[in-house]
Amino acid sequence: MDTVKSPAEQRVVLSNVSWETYESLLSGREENRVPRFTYDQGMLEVMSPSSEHESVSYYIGLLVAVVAEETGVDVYGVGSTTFKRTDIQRGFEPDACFYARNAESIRGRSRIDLGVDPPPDLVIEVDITNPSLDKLPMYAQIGVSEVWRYNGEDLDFFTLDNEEYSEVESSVTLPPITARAVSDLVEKSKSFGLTSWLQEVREAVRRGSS
Amino acid sequence: METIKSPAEQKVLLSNVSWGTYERLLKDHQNSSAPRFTFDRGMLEIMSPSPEHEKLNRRIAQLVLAVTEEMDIEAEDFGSTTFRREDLERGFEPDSCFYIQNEEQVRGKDRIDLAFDPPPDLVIEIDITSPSINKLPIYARLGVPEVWRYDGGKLEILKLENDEYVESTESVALPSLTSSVLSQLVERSKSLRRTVWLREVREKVRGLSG
Repeated sequence: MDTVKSPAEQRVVLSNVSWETYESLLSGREENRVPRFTYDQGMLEVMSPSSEHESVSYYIGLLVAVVAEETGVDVYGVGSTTFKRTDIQRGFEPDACFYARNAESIRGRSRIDLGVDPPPDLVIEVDITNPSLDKLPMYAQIGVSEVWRYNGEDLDFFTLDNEEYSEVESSVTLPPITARAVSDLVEKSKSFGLTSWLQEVREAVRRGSS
Repeated sequence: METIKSPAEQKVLLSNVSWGTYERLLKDHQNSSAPRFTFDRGMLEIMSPSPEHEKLNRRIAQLVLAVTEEMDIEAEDFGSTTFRREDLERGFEPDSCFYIQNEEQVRGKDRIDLAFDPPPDLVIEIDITSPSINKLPIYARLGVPEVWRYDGGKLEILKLENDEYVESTESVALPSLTSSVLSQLVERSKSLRRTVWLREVREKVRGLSG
């Protein structure tokens, strides 16, 4: 290898950032979801994903779609939508996220307001380098019922249990897929062609549900 | 190298940032020199320096002060002060900067306002990773007469001529110092203890003027 290895993400964290500054940064960015902002009571993390980071998010998104199709679960993806709540001074933009139980009520909406709308049912978080802000407590407070977190090697599932996450092997949102199966499939996405990878995903789901 | 890789410099780039948002971020961070903000007509780079970056920066700043002392030239160290011009929609926070020829004009000042005050006479720029915003045109526009740019191996002296920087072998701010002597001294700083190195710097300067 004579290529220079670039870090998977670039992260900068700022402290003492007011909610107004966070809002004005969000509004300046318009439709662009890069870089992504996480706001936690004055702390602002700005993250620029690399192609490796974006590729993992993309494949996990495809995987969710295939699993949903195979298992007949209705999902509605809202990508890296900004979720924020002024009252608790927190906001985040997941790498990918989906509504399942609440898909019906969100489908076709142009904006989501956590003041009235439910939080996403499944959030995908890719953390190939150490994040500067721990986002799980934020997801928990906002009420995200399931998180899939990928650290560059392994993928873990977490479900919300009494306002805290516990690691689980099987997805609640998309049964019967397991964290181990998704980890393997993410690994395969790095060497397989897209079509053969999608076939692998389908077979894995069929094997799992039979 | 057997050493543990130190955290790398982190950089993110935001576009469509208004002057107001930039000012708000500066205000939130007015008492810290890291991260550093560079603003160029709507583009905002936020950079968290790595320990390697800061170490080189501090050493070069100490070198400047040792040299001025040996040469009996007045100099004021303004560190990473924020310099900005709203009318030009540009702003920067150098790694280090010094008032030398214009030292008297800013002596005792707690604030620098480029509408009235001169720009620093010398700016130090550590470029060990590729910057996302080219800062030289910003320095040029704000009238910084001399920049020392260090790329990890070589220190370049850049002199402002007709609104552009041209490479120069000798410093104007600190006459008789050449880029090759500076490059050598910075190289030596990587292996010598600070006090021993500073002694070497002083000796070198005495040799030049003698």
